[in-house]
Amino acid sequence: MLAYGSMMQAGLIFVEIGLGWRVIPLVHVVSHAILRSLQILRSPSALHDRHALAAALGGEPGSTRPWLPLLPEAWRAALYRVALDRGYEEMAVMRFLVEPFRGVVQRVDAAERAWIDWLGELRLRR
Amino acid sequence: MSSTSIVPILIACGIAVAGPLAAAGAVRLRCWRDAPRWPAVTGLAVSVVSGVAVWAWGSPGGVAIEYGPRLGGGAMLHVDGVTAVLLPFVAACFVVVIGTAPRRALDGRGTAWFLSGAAATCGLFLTAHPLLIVALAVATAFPVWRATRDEPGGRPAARVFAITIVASLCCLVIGTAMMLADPPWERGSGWIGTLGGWLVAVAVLIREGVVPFHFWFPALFAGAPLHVSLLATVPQVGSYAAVRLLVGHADGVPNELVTLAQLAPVTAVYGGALALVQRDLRRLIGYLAFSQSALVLAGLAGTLPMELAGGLTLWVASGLSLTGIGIVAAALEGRAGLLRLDLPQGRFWDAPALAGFFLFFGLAGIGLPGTLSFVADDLIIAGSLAEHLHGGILVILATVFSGIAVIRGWFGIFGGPTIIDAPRHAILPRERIGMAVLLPTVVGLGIMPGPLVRTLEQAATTLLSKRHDALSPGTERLPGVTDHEP
Repeated sequence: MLAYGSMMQAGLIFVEIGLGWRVIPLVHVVSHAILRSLQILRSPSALHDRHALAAALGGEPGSTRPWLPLLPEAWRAALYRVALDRGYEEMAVMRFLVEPFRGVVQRVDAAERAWIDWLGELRLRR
Repeated sequence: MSSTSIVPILIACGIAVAGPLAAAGAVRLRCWRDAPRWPAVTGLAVSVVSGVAVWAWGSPGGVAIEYGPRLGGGAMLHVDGVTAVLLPFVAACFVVVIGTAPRRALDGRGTAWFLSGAAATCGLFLTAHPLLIVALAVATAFPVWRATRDEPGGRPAARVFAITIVASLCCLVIGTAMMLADPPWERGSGWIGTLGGWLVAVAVLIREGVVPFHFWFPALFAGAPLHVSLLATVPQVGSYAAVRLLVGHADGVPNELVTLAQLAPVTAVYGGALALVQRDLRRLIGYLAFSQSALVLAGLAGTLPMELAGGLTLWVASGLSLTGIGIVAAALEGRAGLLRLDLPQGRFWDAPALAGFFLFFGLAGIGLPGTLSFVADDLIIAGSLAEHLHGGILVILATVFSGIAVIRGWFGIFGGPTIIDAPRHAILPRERIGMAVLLPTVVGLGIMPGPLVRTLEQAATTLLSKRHDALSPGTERLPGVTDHEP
């Protein structure tokens, strides 16, 4: 959660820089650094507290997603897969961007090789 | 500068050319034929020292020095910031390449051709005389063709090189003659001069491997000895011809330069993209080389001094990094033969030091912070973005593709499973010395780029402000200078 949160804030900071602002990105960087440092320093002890609470209660404290049991089992499994693969973002990039690009470049490369081979074997007729 | 104070510079220029030539003669002698490395390194080292002396004495305050007959605005001996930087740079690259080349790649005959090409290249960088530029462009190409042809299995690559370079030289000869007959930078010039300018631009496009004339680069790297491929590509003879024949007369040949400026970034992206899918190391280096040379040309064809200075700086930075990758590749091939990239070769266990050098020099060519290319890329990207947005974006895209290609190449060669009980090859003393020369140069110029960039900025400003009909304000005419206008 902290990692994705940091990514989002870094993106926002870049947008602010891209808009030509100077003071706001600087304030954003500094305040984000302070807040995130606090969260990162606190996170191990927060986890420890959570485990201590769960041990004292004899189980996990109340679910933060009370609506989840209302969903059908198949939906929950599907949502879990989507979350596990981070929304299939990498697969989508590979399928729709990288693979087509690589295919085109490989075809161009094959054509170039054939052209170079032909040129390399070219002889002047006597 | 007085006529007496020019004598040391003339002597240094003469020695810079005579050193490799004398070494070429020496390695043809019976006593050095089987061990050509030492005379070759000595001759080229003399050339490096002379080049540094030319830099120190020859370009104080950006004042250009000219000597000898002039034609078309260029003197027989022309020493300015461009010369002062490029002469020691190419000589240093050559001495490192020949000093670290595997022993079996160096024979007397091939080394003599290499040294002849090196001497011609040093001579080329000392002149702005159009006829000498043409003659020395021929003299730089011939040894490459001959050494490639003599390589076992190198005839197809030599043929591809010959076909393209002969076309380039024909365009250069005819174009230069037409430009001299009807200078396009003078008022009232006709179609002859315009056509001449276009022919020279086409010659530059071919020699620099700009799309669609780029195919000789990968062919040469695949078929020629690596040190010969570096001899042909590191100095960027075409870029030098462009600087002296086109950029210096930018107001007379604007359309030609616009074409160069538009095609060069496209070529850089194309080369970077094709480097991504290469299946062997040599072709990968070939595509990276022409991508980099196109970026240099993109900077040189710009209209802002910042772009031109960036192009000149990248000329040095990419040459140094290409030399570094080339000698690492030659060292790896000396151990394991031709290296393929379609399956991980697992060479890290064998050569961890070479793995580090490959990664460093690969990234040093594409703007690694702390290296000279970082400064050069910054100048080119800032200049390109300021001039036209799409050009700047293409330059960034080319750098991204080249970076991915370098990392992919690194994983292809050094990644993968290793045979632990295989013999390990320690880095050889000559390779260690070569890296010890090259690495501090790249890092040192990256951390303290001031003197180099200032020299090149002065040269860029002078080039852009140059006019044909009058010497630039910083240029001093010397006794012995005569005009031979057609």
